[in-house]
Amino acid sequence: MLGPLLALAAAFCWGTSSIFVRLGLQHIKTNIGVFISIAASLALVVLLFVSVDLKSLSAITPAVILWFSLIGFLNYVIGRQCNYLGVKNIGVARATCIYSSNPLFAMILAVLLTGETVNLVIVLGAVAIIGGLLLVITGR
Amino acid sequence: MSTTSTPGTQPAGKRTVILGQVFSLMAAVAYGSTAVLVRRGVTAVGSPLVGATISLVAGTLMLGLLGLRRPEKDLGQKKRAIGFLVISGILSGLGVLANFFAMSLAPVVIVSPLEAVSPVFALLWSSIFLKQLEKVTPRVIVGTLLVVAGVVLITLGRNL
Repeated sequence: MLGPLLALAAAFCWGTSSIFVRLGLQHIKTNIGVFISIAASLALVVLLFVSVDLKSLSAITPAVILWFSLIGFLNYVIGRQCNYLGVKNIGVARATCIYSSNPLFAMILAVLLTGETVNLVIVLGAVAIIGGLLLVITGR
Repeated sequence: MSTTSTPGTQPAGKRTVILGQVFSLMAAVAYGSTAVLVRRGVTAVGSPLVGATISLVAGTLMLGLLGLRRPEKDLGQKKRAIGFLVISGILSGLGVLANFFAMSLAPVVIVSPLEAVSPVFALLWSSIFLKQLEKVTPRVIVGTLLVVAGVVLITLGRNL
C-alpha cells in the first residue's frame, strides 16, 4: 500500500509544483526561475543520494557522466525551460495538460529507436492523448 | 486558440498563446526523449539515484552558466518570487524522491498510472488558487482527463 501512496504523493508534488512556478514567474525571468527551482531539487536529491546510495558512487564512469549530462541538458535546460515558458504564457492548466503528453513522444521514440512493439491498448492511449491535446490547443 | 489570462485582467494575445503551446509541446518532446535515455542509462548503471543526481548537477551547472550572468541583479530584489520557485523546486525534488521509493516498493505498472494523475492536481489547484490569473474551461478539463487516460493506457500497454 505504501508504494501506491508514494506514487500519488509524487503526482501531488508535481501537480502542486506548477502552481508555485506560475506565481514565481510573474516577477522573475524564466531562465532564472528554472535555475532556482532546479538548484532546490538538486539539494534534496543529493541529500538522498548521500544518505542511501553512496555505494553506487563506484558505478560512475566518464561515459555515465556524459550520458546523464545529456539527459540533464534535455530534461532541465530544454525541457524544464520550455515547460516554464509554457506555464508563463498559457497558464498552469493548459501547459500541464500539454507537456504531460510526453509518454506519447517517449513511446514514438521507443518504437523508432529501440523497435518496441505497439499493441491495441497503446494505440487507444495515443488516440486519447491526441484527442485531449486537440481539445486544449484548439479550444476557444 | 484557447483564451487564457495573463497576470492582470487582459486576455493573452494570440502570439503568446501560440508560443505557450509550442513551448509546452517542446517540453513534452524533451521529457519524452529523456525517458528513453533514462531507461537505457539506469539499466547500465543500476541506480536511478546516480542518474538523477548527475543529470541534476549537470542541468544546474549548464543553466547557471547560461542564465546567471549578473546574479546579484537577477536575484537581488525578488525574494517572494524566489520563495515560490524554491518551494516549486522542493516539491519537484520531493516528487522525484517519492517516485524513487514508490518504484522500489511497487511495480511500475501500478506506480506510473498513479503518477500520471499529476495534471489533475495542477488543474484542481489552478482552478482554486489561480482564479485571477487563468480560466479553466470545461474543454481544458476534458482535454486533461483524456491526456491522463491516454498516459495510463500507454503505460499499461507497454507493460502487457
